[in-house]
Amino acid sequence: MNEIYTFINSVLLGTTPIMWAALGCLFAHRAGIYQLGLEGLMLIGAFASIGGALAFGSAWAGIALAIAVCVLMSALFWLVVVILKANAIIAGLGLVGVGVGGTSFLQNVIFHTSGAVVAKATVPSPVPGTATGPAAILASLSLLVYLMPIAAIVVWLIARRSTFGLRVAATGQYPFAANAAGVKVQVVQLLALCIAGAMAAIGGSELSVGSLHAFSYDMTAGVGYVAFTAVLFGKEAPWGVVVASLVFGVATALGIFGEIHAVFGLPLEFLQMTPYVVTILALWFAGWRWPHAGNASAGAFAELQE
Amino acid sequence: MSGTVRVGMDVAGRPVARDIESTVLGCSDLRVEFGPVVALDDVSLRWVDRGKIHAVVGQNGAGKTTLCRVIAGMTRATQGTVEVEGVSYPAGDAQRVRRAGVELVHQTFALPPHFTVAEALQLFQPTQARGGLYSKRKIEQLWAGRLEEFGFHVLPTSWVRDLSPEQRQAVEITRALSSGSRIIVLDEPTAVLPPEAIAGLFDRLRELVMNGITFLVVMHKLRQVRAVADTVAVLAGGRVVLHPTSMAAITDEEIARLIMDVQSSGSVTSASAIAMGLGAGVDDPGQVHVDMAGVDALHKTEEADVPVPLGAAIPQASALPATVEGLGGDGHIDDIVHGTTTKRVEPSERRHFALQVEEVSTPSSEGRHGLQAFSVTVKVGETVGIAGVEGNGQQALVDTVVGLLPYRSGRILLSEVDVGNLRISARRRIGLRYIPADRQSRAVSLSNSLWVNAMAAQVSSGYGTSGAVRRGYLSERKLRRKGEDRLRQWQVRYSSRDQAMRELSGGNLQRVVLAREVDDNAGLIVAEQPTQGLDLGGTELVWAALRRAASSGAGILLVSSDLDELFALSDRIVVALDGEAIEELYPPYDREVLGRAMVAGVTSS
Amino acid sequence: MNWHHGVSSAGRVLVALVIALVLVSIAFQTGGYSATGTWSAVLTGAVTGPGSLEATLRYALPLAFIAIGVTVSFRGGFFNAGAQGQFYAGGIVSLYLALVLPASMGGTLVAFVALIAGAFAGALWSIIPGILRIFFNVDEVIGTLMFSFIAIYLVTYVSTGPLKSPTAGGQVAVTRSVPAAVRVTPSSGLSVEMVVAVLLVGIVVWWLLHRTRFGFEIGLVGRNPIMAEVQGVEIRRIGLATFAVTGFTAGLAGAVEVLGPVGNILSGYDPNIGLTAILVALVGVLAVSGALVAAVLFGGLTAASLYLPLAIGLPSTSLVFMTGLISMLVTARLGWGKWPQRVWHGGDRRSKALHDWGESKPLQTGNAGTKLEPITLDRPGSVGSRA
Repeated sequence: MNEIYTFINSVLLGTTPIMWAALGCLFAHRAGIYQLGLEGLMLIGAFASIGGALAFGSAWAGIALAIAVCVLMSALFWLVVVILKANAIIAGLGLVGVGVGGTSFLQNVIFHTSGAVVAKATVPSPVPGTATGPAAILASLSLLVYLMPIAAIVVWLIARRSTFGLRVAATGQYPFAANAAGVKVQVVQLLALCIAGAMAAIGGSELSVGSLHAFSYDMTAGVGYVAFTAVLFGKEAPWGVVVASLVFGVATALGIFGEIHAVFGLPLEFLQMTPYVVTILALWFAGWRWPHAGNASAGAFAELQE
Repeated sequence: MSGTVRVGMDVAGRPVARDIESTVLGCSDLRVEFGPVVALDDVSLRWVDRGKIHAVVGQNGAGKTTLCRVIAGMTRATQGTVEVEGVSYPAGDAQRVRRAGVELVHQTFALPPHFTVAEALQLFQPTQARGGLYSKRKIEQLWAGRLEEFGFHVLPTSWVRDLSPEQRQAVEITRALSSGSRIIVLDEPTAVLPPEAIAGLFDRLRELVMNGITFLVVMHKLRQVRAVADTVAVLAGGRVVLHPTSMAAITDEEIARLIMDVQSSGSVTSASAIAMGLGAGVDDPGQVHVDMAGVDALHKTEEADVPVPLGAAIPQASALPATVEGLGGDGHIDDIVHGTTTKRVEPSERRHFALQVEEVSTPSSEGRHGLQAFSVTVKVGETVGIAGVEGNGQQALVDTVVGLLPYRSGRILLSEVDVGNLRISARRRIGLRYIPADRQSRAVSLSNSLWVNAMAAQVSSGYGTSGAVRRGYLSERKLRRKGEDRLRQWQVRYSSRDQAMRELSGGNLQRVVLAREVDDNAGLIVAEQPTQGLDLGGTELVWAALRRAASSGAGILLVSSDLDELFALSDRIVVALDGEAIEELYPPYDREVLGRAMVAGVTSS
Repeated sequence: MNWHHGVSSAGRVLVALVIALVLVSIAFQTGGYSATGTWSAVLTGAVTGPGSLEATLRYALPLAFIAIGVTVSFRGGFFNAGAQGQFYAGGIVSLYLALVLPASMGGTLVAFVALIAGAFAGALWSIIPGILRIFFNVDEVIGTLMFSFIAIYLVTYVSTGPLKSPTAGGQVAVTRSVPAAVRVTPSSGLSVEMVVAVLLVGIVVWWLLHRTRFGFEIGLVGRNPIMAEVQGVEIRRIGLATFAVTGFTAGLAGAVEVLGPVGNILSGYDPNIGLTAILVALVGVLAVSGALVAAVLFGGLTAASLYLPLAIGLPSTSLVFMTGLISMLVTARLGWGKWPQRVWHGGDRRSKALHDWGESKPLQTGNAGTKLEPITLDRPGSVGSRA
């Protein structure tokens, strides 16, 4: 039984950062911008929250700082991509580089270490007690895990049941219509990117001040890319993204869970690949094309050629 | 402009109504310029009846769509005012005109495809949203009610992408009506509909009219105007040639004549010259008139055009006009324009037909007619014009001949070779050349250099690059030189052959296209609106080039909405209507006859 | 060719580089590291130090291979973002062959076969998303990225599963090593053969681009595919070919890396090489010669970043910050051309009508030559997905 609890614990721990980041990134994608820089934003968020927590002595202050920094970075990304018309994919990968390089540099400068920075203030768990069994697991999970369902509902409300959500979707799908409806396309894109940044910051914070209680170099280790894929895998719909995040969470947990090397006779890695394969197959079979296809992303190159 | 009630402004610039309570919609002294082209010229119109359907008709480029957009405030006018319900507004103020109750339904729909109908309507009118949030069920009920109220059978839960064009239009009209507007401007509402849906639209309009809604509808086809409209106004060349007139008081023939803008003299009017873009830089209409006459004089219609029944076996000798003489292959542009005679292609060197399109049918796509068993032939040395109101199958014809669109049935032969499933490159090697109407996307690559543009087809399709390309390996040096030769030959004004295409002006750009597409091995030149937007000189050059190509043995399929161009160049004119070739006309052409065929589908047979 | 365009795009790249350099210097300075000291350490690590130049060239080698191929895709207007996966695919296949082919074949022959097979594996890894893009309109950015992620798991599988080194400890995921006879470079990573190979690939690709109809047609498709199709270009064939070339060189790079300096496959090795190579191609203004120069530049940065911790105690990843900044800025319009207007329909990306590939309509990839066409009713999206 204990193994099952541990496994559920791993799933929740794996899912939370992915879901927070993916739910935010959903807005960016729906507004027509691939936010591949999510990985970088999460890393920045993880670092800023631990820095803030150490400086102000409160994990919440740390998260607030992380959100502020990530919103700022998202605004910069918007400036580069929407106003300066840079290629979103290249700029997004660049943002990852800025995140990886910037955090490790600052870690060195501020904490004078390239090892782990340990958080003194962490996000508390709403469940008290340190008993063994399920209660212990519940008590070990941070509040951010428990807030996940609420976040999903709020995201669903905003994306699918609000005027703003309609504007975001119209912007991404058919800017002509958005414009005809009096929507300021670029402003909507800025807001969507900032939401993505803020929620990526929370996802990153969950990693550092939430569950691991420390920051180490490149600690997101691809979680941001997973969240990016989760948005695609979830067809850019809130509940789809929730399910996709859980799928990726389970895949992560399987990877962590030492005993499991093969599932249904297949090596674990093949199981972990399936969400990516399914994403491609979904694109192929469902025949739905993307709000802003890569054929558009290459547009910038005609002018870069000699 | 008689019959117009002038409207003044007070000191603060606010509009003041004066004795025009009866005007439901109108405009005064509208003038709209796009660069050198005058789209609307001193247009004053006034519709007085509420709860009626008012039609505006005219040729392509007559300014109908511009008028719609100006009235709805989407386009700025150089001068003039718009009157709504007796109050006048400066033209181009979308907000105020909208508030006054005028809504425009675009020709192309502004609905996000992956929205449900309710969501799309909600996007435009965020009603029932408390604190920015709405209930899906509530808005679905709300919009279901509205759609029902206006007589449209569209489920608010269906996706926009799954809607038929008529349903999309229904949603658009619902959107427009829901804002409380009593005046709806419909820009060519029938153009996007399949024929069977048009009657349904008309029924809806009539029902809505009962409720006191006023429609201003732009249309192309007289049959449809007759079917639905209460009044009709005619624009030609950006001017009003018929003020709103009751349909009962006018015959189709009269309307067709007005649309074609036939004057007693039968010559081109200054207005249509301006609409053609020929009036660039010419302020005095009289001057344009003279210039146009000059063009006509320059290109006396070939006398020798022998009308030949379609599809009949033709003796070789009669296939070519006997008196037509061509130029040498490397003729300088001045020779091309001013026509000296150096070369004449012997009939025995050629095959009979440059193009045979036999009963070709293509599926129709949204708003555009496919071909319905369309047949047309172009003989060697012959220029065949395709006339027709836009969207009657011309695009499908061009695309199937060029090889961009597969056809369902029938046969296409180029130089008497069945091109069935030949690729474009193979068709080009047979002798196909193509001067597209859409220059910026089809004809040239704006960011590529001039020489690349001039040699693109030759290299890609593998012809006419002697020495520069051998078995896939090319000599860039030789290619550039060849490209530059062609640019020089066609007198393209450029500073460097490596210059980007986008730096050239319209006329210059078309010269590059000609440099690529007009050569001695051309078997069939498909020329699609070849002089659209060009100035007088550019037009003259293109016409001369096409004449020369014909005389040296190419067949020319000329698709043009410019009647003067069709008359000036064509040995025959085939009229396309609803994807069918309904009429074939021979010189001397009668503008009126052609107009009746094009607009009203009236044929001699 | 087109010298003034070359100059203007090179100018833009230069501006991006300078901005990144200035920002990074400011960051170093405020972080308590002297900017001049840092840059002189970079110079030492990349050029002047003992063995530095060799290290620079060693890291430049795979970057150059990949970037040359990426150049072809990008010139053809296809955004092949999956160099990382193609690099891995090449590495895995070449390692497998190097391990299983009989030594009796002779080291050189095995190495040659493994290299070529690796290159073809990369091409295959690229062509699958290419086919999906060209015939099924699956966005190539997503397709190639997904294939990269899949390849990352393949690398983990290979290094922990069938090819795992028996001597490695339980948690260390590394494969058996390539036999010494099959290694194409010493562990320093540099050999005359491989330098010749990269130059050869460069020359061949340059020749393809500038001296063949194929290259001419790539240039047409990349800028305006509709125009290209009207001229008689087989745009689908060209598209697939560009995917193949990119995958081929990336796969070759993966093979060279495994058979050369690395000698085995470690789970998650060289995680950023794909991105860096894309950056190299862009900084090299999509020219073969530019890619070679830029590869040396970024190879130098890599070499220097390994030297920095030793020299001045700066973490080796600090320079990743700089490449990130360059990456963010390199495609931005920095003062060149018109300042983008407030585009009512949301920017250039919207100007492309998405034509359906499957039905012999013109392909549309992004290009500067397409006129504004904001109206497509097939615009996809996902309000459609009922939540």
